[in-house]
Amino acid sequence: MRFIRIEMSSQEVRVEPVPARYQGVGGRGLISLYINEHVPPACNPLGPENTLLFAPGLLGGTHLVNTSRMAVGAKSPLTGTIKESNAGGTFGDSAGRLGITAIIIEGCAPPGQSWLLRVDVDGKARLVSADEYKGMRTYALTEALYKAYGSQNSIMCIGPAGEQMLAAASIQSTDTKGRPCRAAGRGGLGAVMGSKGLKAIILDSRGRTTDAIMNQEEFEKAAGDFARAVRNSPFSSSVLPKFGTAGLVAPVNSMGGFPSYNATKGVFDGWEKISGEHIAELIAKRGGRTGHQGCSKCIIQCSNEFVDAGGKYVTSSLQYETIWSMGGMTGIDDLDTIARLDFLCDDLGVDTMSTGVGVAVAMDSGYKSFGDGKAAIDMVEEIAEGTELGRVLGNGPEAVGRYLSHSRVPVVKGQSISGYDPRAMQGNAVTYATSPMGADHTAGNVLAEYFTGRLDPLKTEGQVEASRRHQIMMAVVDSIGLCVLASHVLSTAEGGEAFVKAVNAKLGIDLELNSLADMGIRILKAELDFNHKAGFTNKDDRLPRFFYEEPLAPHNTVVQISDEDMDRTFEF
Amino acid sequence: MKIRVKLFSILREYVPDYNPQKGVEADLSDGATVSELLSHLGIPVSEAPVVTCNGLVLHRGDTIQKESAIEIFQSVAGG
Repeated sequence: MRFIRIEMSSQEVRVEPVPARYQGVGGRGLISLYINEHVPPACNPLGPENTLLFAPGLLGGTHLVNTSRMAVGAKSPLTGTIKESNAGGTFGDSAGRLGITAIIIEGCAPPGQSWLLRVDVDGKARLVSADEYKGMRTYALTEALYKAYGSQNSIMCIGPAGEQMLAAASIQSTDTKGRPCRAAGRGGLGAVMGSKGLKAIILDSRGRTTDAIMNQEEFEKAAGDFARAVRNSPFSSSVLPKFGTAGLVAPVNSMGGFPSYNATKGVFDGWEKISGEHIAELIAKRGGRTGHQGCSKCIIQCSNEFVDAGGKYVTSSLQYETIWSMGGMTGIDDLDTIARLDFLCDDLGVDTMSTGVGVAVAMDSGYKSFGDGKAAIDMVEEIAEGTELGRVLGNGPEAVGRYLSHSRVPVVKGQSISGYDPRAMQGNAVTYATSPMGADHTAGNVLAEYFTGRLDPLKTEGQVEASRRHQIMMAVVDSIGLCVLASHVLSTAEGGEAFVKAVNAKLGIDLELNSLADMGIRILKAELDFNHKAGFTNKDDRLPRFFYEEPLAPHNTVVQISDEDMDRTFEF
Repeated sequence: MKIRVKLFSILREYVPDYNPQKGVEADLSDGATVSELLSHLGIPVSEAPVVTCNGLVLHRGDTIQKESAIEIFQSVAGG
């Protein structure tokens, strides 16, 4: 259990014990508490006062399935708020097994310098010059790093977008096959990493010093019960392995809530062509893979390997949100184009969601036409070229809207919405508007409430409460390191009980499931406090005007949640 | 009454030679409920089926209206 602290201006590396007040939280919780305590809320996110943290979940590196997510956080250059972004792959599990509680990156290296951080199997950390890797795209970079350091490593890295400090730059993370196709995508943390002169972090993946579990026997039993709960759910045992998160395309279109053509319609004309069912069929025909395990210790295995008509690899982990942003939002219904755009964003190290929405804003303004796949690819390539438009696009959808004088920009606090239209899902309107992270797809997605018939997505009743509940739960999930796709089992008796027993066994405490909510509330309060000190008020917890004014077909509704109700969200 | 139903996810496996473009036709008695439709198609509750009509989620006891376009999914959460 240790902090690895790096001061980039002097390249000083220190390993420290973890202070008591940061014990018992991990991942997002640890990061948010630390940032709220240490980072000046008014700081320049790309300057030396910002701190970039990497933290595995509290149970990262243990045998609990689906708990290898890696949290990354800082003050965001995209939103100006506190930001936690999390990524799959193997990095979180490797960090947990090295006994790393957090890697804390402070200060900025002198301009022009590029470094990589290496942590070896004994937990020894050192900075190594990355001059030879400057400017490299992530696929070539990780290939070179695996050659230099061996295959038994996990890598998180930035591409040209992060090196250019573009506000939508991601940090890419290697999956079980060593491909940098997973991402801490949202909020421009790649830009923060680039501003500090850090190109990559390489962790040895053979660590055997996971933090102690207080009650090993209880933990193993709870872990077994939890795995069983995940297997018993049709969503995690049928839909996701067979279709990936692309399995959401059909139901969300059916609900009329798939924001299309820059959120001017709720159903995409070509949705069947980009559905999970069609993608699985195409992949099978071409000899690619579905049901691919991209992340350590995952039993859901929702990833895929998309190949072209000749069977050649195009991209991996082609997900719902990318299909939405690069397909539905842009009007592109050609899977080969969408897959290519997914690869390009991973390779350049830029968020697929922000970039797709940026392209959609450009198309909506008339800059290019909806559905023009070649134009979309060319625009994204410009990010690597560092052209004027490339820089604008890489700085996120709001920058695109300003540059092209277009006002229909679907963002909150600068971050784009995700693949659920708030006018067709009033509960997601609340989450988008109020989450401390800006509009977000995992911060508190209430979709399950609609599919179980518990709530009517088109009415206001119950939406604020549902968003609050889900935001609290996700703060806990992101702190433990659990994947959002396994988190729905927490609402089953079997899954919820097993999960809290695992946490109890780890810490040697005795909480009930609903006391875990206290952890979530504590984390959200820290995040809200930081944002408040950074100058945010309730006026920032609103959606763009067009969501309240432009009815969305086919249900022809607008966002109906009142300002007063939005402001009730965090009445804990 | 004859109802046209489109199936998604692995629910398509419950209808032999399912045609994604056409869906499947279910011949139900007037006033049939969602539960009866699921039984008719042989889709068990364990698959967490969600039945929608015109984009609205129906409950198990709701009656199926004549000439509805029905879609059936497996329950999903966000991601």
